[in-house]
Amino acid sequence: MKKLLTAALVIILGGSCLCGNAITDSNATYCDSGVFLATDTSITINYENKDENTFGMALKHPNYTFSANTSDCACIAGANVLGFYDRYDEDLIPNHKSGNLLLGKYIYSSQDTYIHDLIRQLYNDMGTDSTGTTVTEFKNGMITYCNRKGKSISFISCMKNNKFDYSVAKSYMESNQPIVLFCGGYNVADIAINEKSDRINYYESTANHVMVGFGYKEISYNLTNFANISYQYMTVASGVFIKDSGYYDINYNTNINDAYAVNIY
Amino acid sequence: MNVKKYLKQQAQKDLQALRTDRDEEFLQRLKDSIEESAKERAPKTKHNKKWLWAIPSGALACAVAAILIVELVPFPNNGLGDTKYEEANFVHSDSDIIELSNALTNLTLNFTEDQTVDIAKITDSVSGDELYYALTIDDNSSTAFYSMRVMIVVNNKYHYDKFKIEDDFATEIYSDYSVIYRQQISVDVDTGLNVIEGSAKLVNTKYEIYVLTYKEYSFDNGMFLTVIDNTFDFK
Repeated sequence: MKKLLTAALVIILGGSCLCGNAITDSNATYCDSGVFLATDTSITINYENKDENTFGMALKHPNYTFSANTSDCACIAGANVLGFYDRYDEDLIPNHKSGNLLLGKYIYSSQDTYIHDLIRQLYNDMGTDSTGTTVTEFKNGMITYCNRKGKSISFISCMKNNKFDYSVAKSYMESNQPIVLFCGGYNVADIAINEKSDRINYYESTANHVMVGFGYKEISYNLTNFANISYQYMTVASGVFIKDSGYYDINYNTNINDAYAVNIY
Repeated sequence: MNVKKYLKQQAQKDLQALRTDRDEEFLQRLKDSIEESAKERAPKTKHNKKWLWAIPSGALACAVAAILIVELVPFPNNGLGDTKYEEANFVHSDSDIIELSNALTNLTLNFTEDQTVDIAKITDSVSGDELYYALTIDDNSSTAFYSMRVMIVVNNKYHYDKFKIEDDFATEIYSDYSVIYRQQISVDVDTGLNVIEGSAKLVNTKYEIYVLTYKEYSFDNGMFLTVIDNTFDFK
């Protein structure tokens, strides 16, 4: 009896960790799932002055969040990439209107029923299941979908010595290629701007998760105590309804396990 | 009979007379020893072992039961009877204005022809409970543009707890409801347009409604509160 109870305890505790841990091997699944609840944290920065360097690939980038199944964050991320390229070939996502130009900058449309269908299709193409999607499955699923539409797709790594290369990612975004981020733990922040004070509101989770970067923001603060501090963000489509887009702080409670610049042509 | 009694009493007296202090001490020790031995041999010993084994067994059983409950079953979260739902188990399904309207009483949502509205119903895949409707509303009516994400909770066992009201939030009171909100305005460097970003909680006795994100590009200071008031009609 004692052995049985101990075994049950081990299975239950072990099972809790199967999905959502910051597993860095190539077989890791990305799911935004498991038993890890997302939490909210706020940090207030009081400063004398600040410098910002911001780039966005659109005035409003795709930010779809429709989650037809659990553990389908990779499918939503794939849809956001396809949504971006749908602007250049409207047949990539049939019947979906990609967006409009406003003063020379593009505003992508929000999700609709055609995007819902797209996410369901990618769930099949990627072979996603309740445990999530591996990097290989993500790539193969995207290749399958694009080839079906008569398109080619390339993935160029933004990793250097197993670490995320922020400057490489920035250069690809500047050349109009979104970045797919495979994260072990992630955050999405918004910045509440007040007089000489920024409050960074983080939505964060320890789950493995896939997001798409469509821009970046770098902020350097000269603090009131004369110290300097810098923040490096990616502007992301998070795939999470309650925080659909925002700033991903690449140095805050996260690990970028893999990242690719994606081009569809 | 009397003779017998007399002889017995006499024998007792003689015995006491013969006992020395040392004899008394010996007898007392012997008596204590017998009582102690009897305690140790008592059947109670077996009962104690059972009771001691029950402590770790019970604790382990309680731990397993607690973990099973936490892992598998939505459970009462606090004394108020709320149910704890795990976000990772939420799934979205296609919905539309008709279904949403049928799910709401004393609340009407108004949409214009210029708006595109996407509606999804969010359900907990473990319990099957319907939790809330997720609306994404875009408006391309003029040179300006706005997009708004709205959560309308339709299950009184579910409460959204991630909307934090900070010191820099303001309140606007209308006749049927009030809005606790925050908005900020910045400038898009490339277009020169104002970027109005906001979030809000609509306070009404019947429904829990959140504008999770609002983003507008405009030449002026935007129409965040106007959009909210035009969209929601509490009866």
